[in-house]
Amino acid sequence: MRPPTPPGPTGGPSVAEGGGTPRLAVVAGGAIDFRALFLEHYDFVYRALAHFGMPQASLDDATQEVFAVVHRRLADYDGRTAMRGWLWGIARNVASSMQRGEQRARRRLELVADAEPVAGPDETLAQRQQIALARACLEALDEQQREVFVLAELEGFSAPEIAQTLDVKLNTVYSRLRIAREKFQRALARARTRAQRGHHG
Amino acid sequence: MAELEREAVAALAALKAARTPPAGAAATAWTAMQQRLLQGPPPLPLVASADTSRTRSIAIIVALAAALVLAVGVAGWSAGWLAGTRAQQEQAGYGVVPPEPTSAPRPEQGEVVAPPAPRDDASTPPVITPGEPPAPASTPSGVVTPPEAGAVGAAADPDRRPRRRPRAAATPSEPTPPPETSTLEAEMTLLARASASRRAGDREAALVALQRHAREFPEGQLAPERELQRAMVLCELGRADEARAIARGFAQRFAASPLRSKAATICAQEDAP
Repeated sequence: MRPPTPPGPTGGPSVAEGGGTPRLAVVAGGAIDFRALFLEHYDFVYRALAHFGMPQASLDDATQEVFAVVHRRLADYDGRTAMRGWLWGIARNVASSMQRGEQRARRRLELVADAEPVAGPDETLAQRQQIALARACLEALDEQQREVFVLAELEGFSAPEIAQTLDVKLNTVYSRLRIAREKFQRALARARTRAQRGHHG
Repeated sequence: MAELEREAVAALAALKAARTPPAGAAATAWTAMQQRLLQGPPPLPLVASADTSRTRSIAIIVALAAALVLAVGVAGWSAGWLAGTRAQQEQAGYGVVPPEPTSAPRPEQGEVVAPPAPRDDASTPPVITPGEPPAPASTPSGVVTPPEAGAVGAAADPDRRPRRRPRAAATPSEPTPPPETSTLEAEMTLLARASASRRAGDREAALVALQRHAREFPEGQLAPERELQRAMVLCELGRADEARAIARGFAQRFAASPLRSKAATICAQEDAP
């Protein structure tokens, strides 16, 4: 376990290069360049919030909120967790808080659109069907399995990274991932069967 | 460990693409982020500031409640002490000195007066002057310090207590949320129906539900939600001009709505040259 590193010259923490984070922006003196960090991880944080069920209309604000927290707490980041894992944890907390605090507003938003992005007119029918299929199959997983599955299959986290991010044992990650994949496949097969029956019926 | 089938991988890739912001969004968002960091966080809807203000409100309420309990407690103790002393005086046959003429000089601060005698000393009954607060029994020197204005003296004044209680009772611990009205429920039902139809792919039915909402609740509480959804449905039906017209008017019509940014994106891709 690496010891916490002291703050760098810009007020941000020094981060040992690598730290499980690919392409982590490191400037002279070893401090994190917040701008580079923002630009590099913006899409990931945005997606993480979408995975946590934030409505699309709130995703921009929520992503900003995550980075505002990151900016405030950058000095606390000691590099023991990979940067993406750290961001994932903050995104989860922000999503949870915003969802609690804005339940009423969310109920109103749900009257307009799903939590998921609505397919635009430029998306093909096949794409829409695939998105709907993936969402339906993810619904078949419980919350813990879904989180492991999304980190592994959508975000490309390794099992050790997931274990570190979620603070669970490596074996637990493998177990959840195996069950999640099986459930996902089964849900997919059921959906395929339904679709075939629909075509024939 | 079982690998995912190709179809599953394709579905997940489509979902990931749908959940990823459009290209260039990070650069645009960085400008807003810089502005925010320079100006500090807006009061709402940010979580941290909302939490801070909630904590501050709770602290104020707790402080007010503690002050109220203290004031009532001191008032009750003083009144009880005074009444108890009077009762003991009467029971013991002590004469209560009638009130002195108003012209009589009151003891000044630091002036030495006779301290109350011990209760078992019947030969020197204590002199109780109505209207004066009781001297603390533990004052060894007998130096009477006048009560501080608005503190114990004020709390001991029985005339003031009824005025304090309603004020304290009127201080709400938290704002009462407005009750859900049946009108709002009716609005929600219509919009939920429209949303369900849209999800099921029946956009015409969604439009019918939205038009009914517009007829029945033209300026309803959920009018912004209706208009936004109407624009979305029209866009999906290929009626882009109508959708954009609604989206353009949305910001002006519902200037305070949090849905403005969403409205601005409806059918926006086709605006690009």
